[in-house]
Amino acid sequence: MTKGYDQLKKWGPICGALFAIGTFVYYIAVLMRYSYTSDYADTLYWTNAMFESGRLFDPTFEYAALFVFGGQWFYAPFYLLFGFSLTTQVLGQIFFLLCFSAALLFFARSLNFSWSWSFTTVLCVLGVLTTNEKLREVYFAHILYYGLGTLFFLIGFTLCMQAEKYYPQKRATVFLVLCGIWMFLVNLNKVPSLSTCTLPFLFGLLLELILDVRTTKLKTKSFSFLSFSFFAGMAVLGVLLGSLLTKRVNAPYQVAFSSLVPAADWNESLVNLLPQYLTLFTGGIYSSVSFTSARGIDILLRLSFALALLVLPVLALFTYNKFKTRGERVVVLFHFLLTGMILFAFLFGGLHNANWRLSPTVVSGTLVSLVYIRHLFQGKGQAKRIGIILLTLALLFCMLFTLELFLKPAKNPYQNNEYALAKEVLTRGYTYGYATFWNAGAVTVLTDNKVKIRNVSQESDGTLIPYEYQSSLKWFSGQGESEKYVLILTGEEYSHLPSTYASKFSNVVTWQSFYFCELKADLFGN
Amino acid sequence: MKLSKARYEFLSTYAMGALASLAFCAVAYFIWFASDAYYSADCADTFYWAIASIDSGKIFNPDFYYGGVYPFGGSLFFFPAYWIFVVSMACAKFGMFLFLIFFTAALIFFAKSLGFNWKWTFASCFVILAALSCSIKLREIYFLHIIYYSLGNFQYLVGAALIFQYLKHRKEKRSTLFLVLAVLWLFLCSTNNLEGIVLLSLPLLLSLGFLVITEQKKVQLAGFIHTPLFFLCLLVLAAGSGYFFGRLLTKDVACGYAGAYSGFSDAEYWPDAFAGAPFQFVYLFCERNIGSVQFQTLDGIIFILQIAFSVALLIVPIVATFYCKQYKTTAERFVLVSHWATTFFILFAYVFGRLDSANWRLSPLIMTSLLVSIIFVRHLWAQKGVAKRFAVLLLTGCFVFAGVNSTRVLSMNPHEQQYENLQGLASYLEKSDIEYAYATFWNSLPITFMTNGKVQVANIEIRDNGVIHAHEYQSFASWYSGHEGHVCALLLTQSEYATLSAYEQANIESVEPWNQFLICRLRWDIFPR
Repeated sequence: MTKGYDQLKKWGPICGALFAIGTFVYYIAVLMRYSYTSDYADTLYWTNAMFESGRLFDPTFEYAALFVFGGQWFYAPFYLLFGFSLTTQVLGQIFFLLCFSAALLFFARSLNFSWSWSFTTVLCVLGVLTTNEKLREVYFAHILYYGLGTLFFLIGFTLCMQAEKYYPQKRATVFLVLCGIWMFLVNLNKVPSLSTCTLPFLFGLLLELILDVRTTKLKTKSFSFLSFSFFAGMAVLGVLLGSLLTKRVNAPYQVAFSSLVPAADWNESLVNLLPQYLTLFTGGIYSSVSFTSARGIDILLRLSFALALLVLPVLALFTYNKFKTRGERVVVLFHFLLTGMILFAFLFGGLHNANWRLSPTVVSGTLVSLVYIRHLFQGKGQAKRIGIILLTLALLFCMLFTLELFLKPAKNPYQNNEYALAKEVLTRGYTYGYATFWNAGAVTVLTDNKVKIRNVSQESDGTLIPYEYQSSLKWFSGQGESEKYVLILTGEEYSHLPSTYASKFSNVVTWQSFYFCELKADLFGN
Repeated sequence: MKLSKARYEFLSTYAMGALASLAFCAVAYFIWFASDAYYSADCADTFYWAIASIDSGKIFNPDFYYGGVYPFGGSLFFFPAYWIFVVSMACAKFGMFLFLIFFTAALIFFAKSLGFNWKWTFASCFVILAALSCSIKLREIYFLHIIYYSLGNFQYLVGAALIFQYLKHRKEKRSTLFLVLAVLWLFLCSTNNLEGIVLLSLPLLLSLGFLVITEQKKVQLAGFIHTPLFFLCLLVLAAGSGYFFGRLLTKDVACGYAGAYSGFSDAEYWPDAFAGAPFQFVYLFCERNIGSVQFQTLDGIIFILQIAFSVALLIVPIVATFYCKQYKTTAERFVLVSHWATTFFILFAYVFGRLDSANWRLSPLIMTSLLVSIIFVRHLWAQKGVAKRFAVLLLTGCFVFAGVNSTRVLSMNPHEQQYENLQGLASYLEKSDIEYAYATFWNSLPITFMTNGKVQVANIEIRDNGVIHAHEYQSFASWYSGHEGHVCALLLTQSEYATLSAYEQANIESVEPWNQFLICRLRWDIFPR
């Protein structure tokens, strides 16, 4: 019996973690394309812009966000092999997933977690991220602030803790230097990295030092303080170089969301906060769903899990002084500092109109909850029992969420407009075209760039103009006569089109709710 | 080299003194040099109340229509100013500077009465003065005119300090002096009607009453239980009689504004008012409208600092409540209770009443939150270990906030022209031969100031039918008669001019455009009609 339990304890978490990773690989390789939207294409476009221009940032491209040290580097090796294609994105994302999982594993190890607890950490974090399409998207369908910020923290934290662990041995210096370089690289991304990783992490390190009255060894404290100063210095250098590198690059979207909003909106942001957070786990809740239906029970489970992730970190904060290691205390502080910063930007800034901007706090909340559960688990008596119950529930929930995704059948591809549209335009032999944002980028990627659809926007008078967001200016000048051009419009867009456009069309074909206006020549060509 | 404790105390006290001076100088600089651009019609009230009293030789001038009635109000600070400078910007500034001096002195008196040493007293002055001057609205409310908010806070500081002094010296002879002073103070302040009662008398009396009830079992209070109770009764009597005396004094005084906001609102507005209150409190600290300011810009960072400080001011009093049993002195608990009493009254009127139409009506809470927070930080400072380190962190945050704000105020451009048009118009009118003029509220009262009384501009309203009527609010009845033979004009905006009736237009001799205004010279004086 004991041997069986030991085997379960040893192999259970490993299998669980591998299952979670495998499920996400399945999501990325198979399921992702069926829910693919133009938003998913950003990292691939940035990689393409980098390679096409031969520069870090293409001066003709209007970026949605600027990452000097961003997701494009995960895609780069695959781009060299497969070019601008969905395959590149799938492989790049799987690569990111593996790095993320490895970072989670070593993060847990740096907290002195056993291998079993470390694999449990991987399972739980990935399990939480499987809960909802939006979480899956922002973490593993494309690489944005959220996934990057968490990855940066996990690696930075691990390196820092290793340095402190090995001090005063020589290899402490190696980890110290590595962490310094990491801080430098990470902060080349400026505000996104500062807000999701650097500031909460560094202030967490500093605050723990200030609040720690137990460590009397001045040498250890001095090392921690010096390493903090070194990291902070490297972060500043990173920000300065990042500012130089991105000085003349166009990224209006990022600017729009890092601003304060008028006071009249604050109240509404607060009212929306909890529903926004909860819908990260449940998706849209429909009033017609009964409590006792399968969907109703699923929603109830997700809601209780989401609420537990709110409460457990608070309980962890109250037991702050009981955590034995500096690492555990820093994780708790990191979570609350990160949450504070995101809440600040959510309540007083422009983050409030999208729930996924809260997603970094979901991961940090999960990490703190695990630290707390492990702390209880290692206790005695009642605490241990509560720890066992919480761990069992956490594992059950995470396995359930992961299983739910794993069992998701590859849907009929034609249920997804973008996927069906991509297949259709490919079949019809078009090679170059135009559509409004949501029908442009997604179709281009889903056809592996065989049909290049560029962004246009429709003015109030119905005319179409180039929409430069996530586009290169070059895409709107003459593309040559060899292309077979098409303008893809929805019924509503088509109905607003001025009659003067008719002369540009050689043929208009309807397909589902779309109008394929075959063009005689390039729409914006000279 | 290690500093000795005495040397450290000496140096830190001087450092705090320097910081307090910085904040004081920043506010004084604002009043004397940088405030011109921020004078609006609202800021003229205290000044006109003083003129009304002096001109009539009575507490309230029957010829004047008041915005608020305070028998023991801010106009007292303007009496000497008016005697020295007559009607002018210098008079307004001198009156406010005098108030600043008294306000700072009251802060020092209060902190010392609480048992603070000089270091903490100066630190309190630094943070409080910097906080109260951190945004355009707060600077206006506290340092451009004296109404309920600043007046209530000032009177609270003095009243509480007198009560602390009495309790401290209760077994000495001088306790009688403090008793008499406290009773007199409560009597005088309570004459300021409902505002005086809500912002000063009730918080003080409730705090004292609460502490008399809850602390009577404690050994150290056992000996004087009867005296504080007696003292409380005397204060209740003083406040009650003061209130009724005030009612008598203001019985026949024409007054509009204050009364309009002391009623209930419809129940449908309560949830919004309740949920909005904390945010409106936070917004008071923001220099100006913050919409679309980038986080990482200098302005953005300053706003973040202001918001973080104000959020801390909302949270710290709640935390302090859980720790108040650990406070060493009754006075410290007294301040906490009075903060919650003030919060209750103001929030009540804000949520269920009509105060929610303007966020500055929450401003008295800023002062009480600041006092409670400083007391709590000082309490943490006196502890050891983590608590002390928390105190260091909180103090660092406070000092950064206060330092940044004082520096910002000191670097304000004295030539800034927020009300550029009004100032320009005033300079233009000063050089003209116009002696009397009429304009709508926001364009009338400040111009009299700005022209140093050379051109007297009275308040009018243009009704829907285009006919001009006297708008007596904050005005003398005499402004609307006796101008025959003098050069009179109407100062109108383009849109106001367009609404004038044919009859009124017939009275206009010539129209001279100046910027967005039209200076319309009149053939005959409009009033009396």
